[in-house]
Amino acid sequence: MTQLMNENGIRCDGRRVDQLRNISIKVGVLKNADGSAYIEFGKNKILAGVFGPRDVHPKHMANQDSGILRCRYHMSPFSVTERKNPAPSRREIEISKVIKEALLPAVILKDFPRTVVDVFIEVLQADGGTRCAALDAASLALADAGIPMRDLVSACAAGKVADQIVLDINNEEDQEGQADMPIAYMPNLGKITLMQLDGILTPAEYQKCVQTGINGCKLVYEIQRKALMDKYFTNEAQ
Amino acid sequence: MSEKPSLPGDKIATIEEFETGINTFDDGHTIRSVVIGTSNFDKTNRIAKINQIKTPAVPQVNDLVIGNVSALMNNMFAVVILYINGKPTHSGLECICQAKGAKKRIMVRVSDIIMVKIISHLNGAIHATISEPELGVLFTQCNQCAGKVVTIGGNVKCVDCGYIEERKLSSKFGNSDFIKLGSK
Repeated sequence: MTQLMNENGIRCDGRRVDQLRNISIKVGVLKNADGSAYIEFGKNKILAGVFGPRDVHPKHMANQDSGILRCRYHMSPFSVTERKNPAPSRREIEISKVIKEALLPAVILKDFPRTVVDVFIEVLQADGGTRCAALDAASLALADAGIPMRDLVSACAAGKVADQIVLDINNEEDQEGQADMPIAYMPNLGKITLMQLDGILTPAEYQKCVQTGINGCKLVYEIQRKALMDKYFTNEAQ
Repeated sequence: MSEKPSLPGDKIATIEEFETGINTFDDGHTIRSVVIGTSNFDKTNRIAKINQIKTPAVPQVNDLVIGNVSALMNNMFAVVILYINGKPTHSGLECICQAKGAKKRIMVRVSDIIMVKIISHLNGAIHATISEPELGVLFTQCNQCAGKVVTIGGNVKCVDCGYIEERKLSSKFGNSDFIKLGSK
């Protein structure tokens, strides 16, 4: 069993308890998509592409009063150490659903009735916390596609490792830690759009875990913001 | 205060100062941007809006659309949108053109390339018109032999079989550069 934290409070990958992994984001990476983003969240490498608003197929899914949002989260066969079957697994279907539900409070689709906005998320390399990283990329890809949004959605996980609440848990901490709580948050509106919990926490730990996760989301938001500013306003200024 | 870069969720004003304009919403006390763009304030009418940098490929009112007639009904026809203001789109969206007696007078035929103007977004459908001189059929073929046609008055005549048929032709019929638009 890996030692998840040493006596100085340093985690197995050398981070402090309140430290995020290195994040780099690039917006507008796919020519054929209406909006796209690529994120490296620690060792996670994830690509998100947004297509639409466009015609809905099958037609019976169309909503007369508003557009609809569809999400597809997919892990490439080479994204994990042992080959993953490329067919959608139960886990991928569930994550697609939770990502869609985390993005829905942010997007405004009433101006696009009978249309669909498709979000495709491809995990190229996975190292724990892919749903949060995927949400971060998907949110930026939606903004890049010009879809009206109430706020960007920033996501980050918190958890309990070696009896301590830590920010942004990695794969080892996810496998062997005591709790994992992914949180998606709209920082300007101060609203949580996704919160899951796998593990057992006391009420005090729960409160601390939520606050740690929200603080992490706020840090991620600043990086998301910079990525959009770099694409849309820095080049223009130059 | 104006022309400031804004991202979705950014605060651009308070509801005491301005009313919400295009691409903005209010959360009860603050006016926020919903798109990426630059903020713009109409100080006369006290309206805050955002000039969007990248717009989704959905035509707005008064946009000129070139498309392919996909269905012909008694009083209307459907057009699959291919170009919006000369810019190609692959959204596959359709707009509806009201044309009384469309089937009797043969204004258009299925698969004609036509230019329409968007007049409204109503009941979840995009409505368009062809009742302006530059709007109407840009390209069509003979309904009998699929041969090339030439205009005769308001009608078209096949150069191969001589079949004459009625159309609502655009003033740009025969000299439109819509074929070149795709290479832009």
